[in-house]
Order: sequence, then structure tokens, then C-alpha cells
Amino acid sequence: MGSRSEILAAIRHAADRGTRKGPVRTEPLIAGMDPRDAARRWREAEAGRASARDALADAFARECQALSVKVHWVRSHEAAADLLGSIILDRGIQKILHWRTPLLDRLGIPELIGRMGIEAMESREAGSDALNKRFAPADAQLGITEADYGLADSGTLVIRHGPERDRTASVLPPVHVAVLEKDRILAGLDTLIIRLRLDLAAGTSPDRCITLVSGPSKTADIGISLVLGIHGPGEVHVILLDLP
Amino acid sequence: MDIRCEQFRESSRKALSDKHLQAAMATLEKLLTLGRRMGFAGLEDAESLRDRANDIKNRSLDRLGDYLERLEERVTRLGGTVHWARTASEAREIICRLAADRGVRTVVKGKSMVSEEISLNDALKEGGVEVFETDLGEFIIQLAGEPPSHLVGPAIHKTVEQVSRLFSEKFGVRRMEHPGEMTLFARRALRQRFLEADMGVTGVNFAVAETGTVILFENEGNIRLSTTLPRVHVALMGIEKVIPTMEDAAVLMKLLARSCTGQKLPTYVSMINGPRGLEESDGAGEFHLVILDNGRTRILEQPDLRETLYCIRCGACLNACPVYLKAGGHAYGWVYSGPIGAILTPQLVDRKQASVLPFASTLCGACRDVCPVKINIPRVLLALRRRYAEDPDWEDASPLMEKGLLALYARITENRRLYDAVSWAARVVQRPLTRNDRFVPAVRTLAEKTGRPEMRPLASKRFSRLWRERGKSGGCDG
Repeated sequence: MGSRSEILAAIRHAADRGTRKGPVRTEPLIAGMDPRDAARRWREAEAGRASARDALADAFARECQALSVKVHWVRSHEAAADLLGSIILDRGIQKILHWRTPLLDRLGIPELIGRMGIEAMESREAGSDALNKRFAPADAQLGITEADYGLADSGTLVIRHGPERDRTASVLPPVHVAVLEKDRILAGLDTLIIRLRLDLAAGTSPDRCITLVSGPSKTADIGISLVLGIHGPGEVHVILLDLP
Repeated sequence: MDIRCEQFRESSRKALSDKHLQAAMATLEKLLTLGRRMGFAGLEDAESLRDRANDIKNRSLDRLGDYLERLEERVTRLGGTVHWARTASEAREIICRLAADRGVRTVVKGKSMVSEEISLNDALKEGGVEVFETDLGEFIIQLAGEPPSHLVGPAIHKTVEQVSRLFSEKFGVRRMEHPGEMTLFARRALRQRFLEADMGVTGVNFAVAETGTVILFENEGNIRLSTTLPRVHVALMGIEKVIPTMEDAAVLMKLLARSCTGQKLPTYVSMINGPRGLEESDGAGEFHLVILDNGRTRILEQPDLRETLYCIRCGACLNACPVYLKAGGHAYGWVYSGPIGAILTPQLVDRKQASVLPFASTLCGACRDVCPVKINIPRVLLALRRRYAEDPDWEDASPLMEKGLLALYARITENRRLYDAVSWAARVVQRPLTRNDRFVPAVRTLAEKTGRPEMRPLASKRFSRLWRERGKSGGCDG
């Protein structure tokens, strides 16, 4: 405990030497948004979303395009499955990782896999320490996940990870396909923070990891020349579910 | 990392004649300043956002102890472990001991300046642990055995050809021509490392006290892989990285990527709350947060230097600095370069070694104008210069004669009459030594020999006299 107390003592000593700029702080240590404020703003955001669904989705799609993310608009679960099928077929993909979730089940992913005769592994199996996996996760050519939200002003996918929602599927394979429901597109980061504030206030345990994905993996470290797909996926698709 | 600040003059001279470096810096400056401008143009309230960011940093430092304790409590409750390191050597020890205890044989690293600050890689290697830098730029300079030259692009000083040769030599592969090929090669070379690594080491962009969340920014995906695949994740942070709430984090998040490259957000933002949950299939099973002092508490003590700790490491000041863009990152002789390096390094390393850095500036203020958290860097540079000139604890090895001459100069310029008299006398004395507003060859040779080739005589007519003369004849236009 020596270093801990030394460091804290040194910090206190610095404060005592009057290094504070301005008046002594009397407000509470943690002054995040008031949950009631947050609730009101979330409701306003939802109302705004309801009336501006198309505008938000359009903005989201525009930002995605600027990031080289391909957005596919579909109006039914069947159309979504067909689209996914064509992405897989066009690239000659044989091995995929996928989440197993109610939404992806509604899309008929398991049936699609069967029909196409490709090898698929639930990505939670991929992440496990099991020895006899169907194939090496590193050999997967495509990963399918959901996105919990989209952020319209930056073309961002918000992915909350958890037991059936691993991280591997969206980062290890070279192609990532995310299924996003159109009315889950938020205006931007501030709205997401409001959501997180509400979850915190409700006492829900926080997600162990939330990933914000804005476009394909990229680097310009060699010769200041932009290259996609250095470590994460070089190709990102969003299947935007616009159900009537 | 070795400290070579005292070689600033020599290094920068070399940099000036490095054609590739100069071209790379010019390109970087154009791209990143344009990017930054465009990124900020999209923000409707950029100025007030910067003010808020400055306030957040100020508030965080005001009650730093409380926020660090809260952060520790939260991370611990999430199942993580918090370690406190007073010094670089302690931090190294903590991480090496952890690696030894957990049977770690290989480590994958995300880009982390603080890990270079404490020279972590060498320590791990001494303990028999293999360390792989995974950020492409860091990977390249690790292979080349060189220090980083820019915060965002550590390897921009290398030509495409040089990287191609490097890969060919180190991996025994054929020479590749295009950045695309080489990038794909690096991806393949590192994939297995991620899959086999026992421990991932990263820095921290922001640590949120209220929730215990560690936020990590990146474009490549190597940090995601380093925190998803290995069983242990070690996040290393300076004490100044803690901020109060997620709302505060959002303000800084909006500014960081825009200031750095002009992006609204980087490709990946990871918000990590402790180790993975029981039912999760990936993510590190162990999360360790190492909180590092290494001289930061001493910075905190100084009212006029304290704002150095506001820095969020965006690199905007580097891209704006006329000195950095010519001298290059290596000239600054340590981990942190550019204007932030000029103020941070002298406060973290041996003062004498770093004494040239606060003087390697024109005080133009371009850095202050772009800093997202509104650090008044020129003000801090002047404060450091004052210390080097006057504070006995800082006094640099300035020769007595230089001090004497400066004091004399100060005396002369404070008194108008004295200044005029000395000025007149100097012109009389120098006349036989000058021709056409230049020194005669003999004097020029002497100047070169004593290391002052740029020395010029006083102009034959003072500006004030020219102004008066021109004024009489009707003034000048333009």
C-alpha cells in the first residue's frame, strides 16, 4: 500500500499548496446528468426519432458511405437473409462466425447456413477454450453480429457485448456484417450517453465492453497512404432493417 | 527510452537536410490540419466545447485524489485490480511480476506512449517475455529499433522503400512495392501473435471515475484484438487520465479524434468495464489498471505548470508547430515531441538534459490555438524558461558570460536613452567591419568558426530612422 498512500499524499500536498484555480469546489464529486433530466431527454430523443426516422437513417447512411461502410436497406427479414446470402456468395465465403440472437434467428441465419452449405460457428464457441472447434476462428472469413444502435452524425455502430454477444465476430474476420434496426438509429454520441446514464441510474450492471465501430479498420502508417483492413475487418456492411 | 534531448540542435540540423522527412512532415501537416479544420467545422459549438474540456481537466485535477480513489473502487468492484506505481521502475516491476506470476510468455501491445516512457518492453524482455508491438507504425519502428517520430504516425519518417527493405530483411520475404501489400503482410505476420499472446498491454485514453470505465481509441483494431484474445489485460495510465463522468468523457471524445486526424470518432472506441463477465466467451479474464505517477504529482504542485497535465495526447500541437514540422520528432530526444514534448519532458526527466527544449520555440502560439483543452503552451514554455534562468533547482549549465550578457541586454533595453546611445555607438564601431549590410569576409569566417554562421551586423539605418524618413517623403504603401 506504500505507493498508493505516497501518491495520494503527494496529490493532497499539491492541492494544499493552493494550486486550485478559482474558488474552492463545493459541488458534489460526481455530477453527471440528473437521471430525471436524462429520462426526459431520452423521451424527447425518441419522439424526435419517431418523426425524423427517415432523416436520421439518411444521415446515418451518408456518414457510412463517407467511411466506406456499405449500407443495405431491407424491408423484411427474408430480404435481409437474401442479402446476407449474396454477400457471402459474391465473395466465395466458406467459413463464417455468427452471433446467436433472437433477431438473427428471425432472419433465418441457421437455415441460410444450411442452404448454402457453408461452415458456420457460433462465435461464442469460437471464443471458448474448447479444443475441437469446427474450424480455427482465425480462418473465419466473415462475422455476423447485431448492432444495438447506430449514431447518425458519425456513421457509427454501437455494439454492446455480453454472453451471446462476443467481441471476436466483429473484429477477427476480414468482413463484418452488422444487422441494425432502423429505429435504433440515434442522433449521436450525446444520445447514447443519455441511454448509458439511464441504465446506470436503473442499477443495471454495465456491459463489460461496448464497442463503437466507425468504418473499416484503417491505417496510413506506411507512406501516409490509406490502407483498409490492417487488423480489424477491411469491409463493413450494415443490413438496415426497415420493417413496416 | 534513452533520453537524447541535449542533441536537439544536431538532430534538427540532420532533419532539415532529410528530404524525405521534410516531405513527409509537409504532407502530414497539410492532411492533418485540413482534417482538423473540417472536423471542427462540423461542430456547432467548437469553442464552448473546448472551454468545457478545459474546465473538465481543471476540475479533475482539483480533486484528483478523490477521483482516483473512486476509479479504484469502481474497477475493483467490477472485478479488476488496481496497482499504484510511484516511479517508472515500480511500474515495470508490477507488470513484470504480473507476467511472471501468470506464466505469460508473449505480450501484444497497443500504441502506448506511457509504456515507452517507462521503457516497459526492455524490462519484459529481460524477464524472458516476448513483446510484440502491434500498431503498424510501432511494429515498423520496433523492427527498425528506432524511436517514434510522430504521435499519430510513429514511422512516418520512413519511406515506403525503407519499410519494404526492412520487411524483406527481417522476414526474409521478397521486396514489396505497395503500402497495401506491406500492410496485408503485417496483418498476417501479427495475427498469430494476437491468437497466442497471454497478455495484452495498452494505455488509457480516458478513465471514468464514476463508472470505472476505461476508454480506448484506435483506427487499426489491434487494441480490440489485444483486449479480446489474451487472458490478461494490463492498462497503464498516468494519474492525469482520470475524469469524473461519462458526460465528461463525451466532451473529450468529441474533441480528441477531430483534433488528431479530423475524424469525428476513431474507427474503434472500446469502453471497457473490468474483466469479462462470467458467461462471456471472449475478453480478458483479468483486468489490471496500473496508475502511474512518475513525476506527475510534482507537476501538479506548480500552479504555473499544472496545465501540462491537461493534455489528452491528440497531437494537434505537433501538426501546428513550425519548429516540430521542420525539426522532426527525433530531435526532441524522448517519447513526447512537439510543443507538448517541450513542456512535458523537462518536467519528467533530468532537467539539465532537457534544458534546450523550452527554448526550441518561437512562441508563435499556433499550438495554443489548436489545443482542444486550451493549454496555454507558450505561457508554460515561458514559465519553464524562467525556471531555467532563475530557479536554483533548475538552473541550467548556462555559462556565466551568457547570463551576464543577457542581464546587460535587459538593462540596456529597459532605458530608452541608454538604448539609443549604445545603438549609436555599436554602429560606429561596426562600420569598418561591414560592407553592404554584411560583415566583411574575415569576420564572417570567424563567425562560422565559433558556430554562429547566421550572425549579421546591425542594419546601417535603424527602422525608427527609416520610418521617419519615409514619413517625410509621403510614407510607404502596403
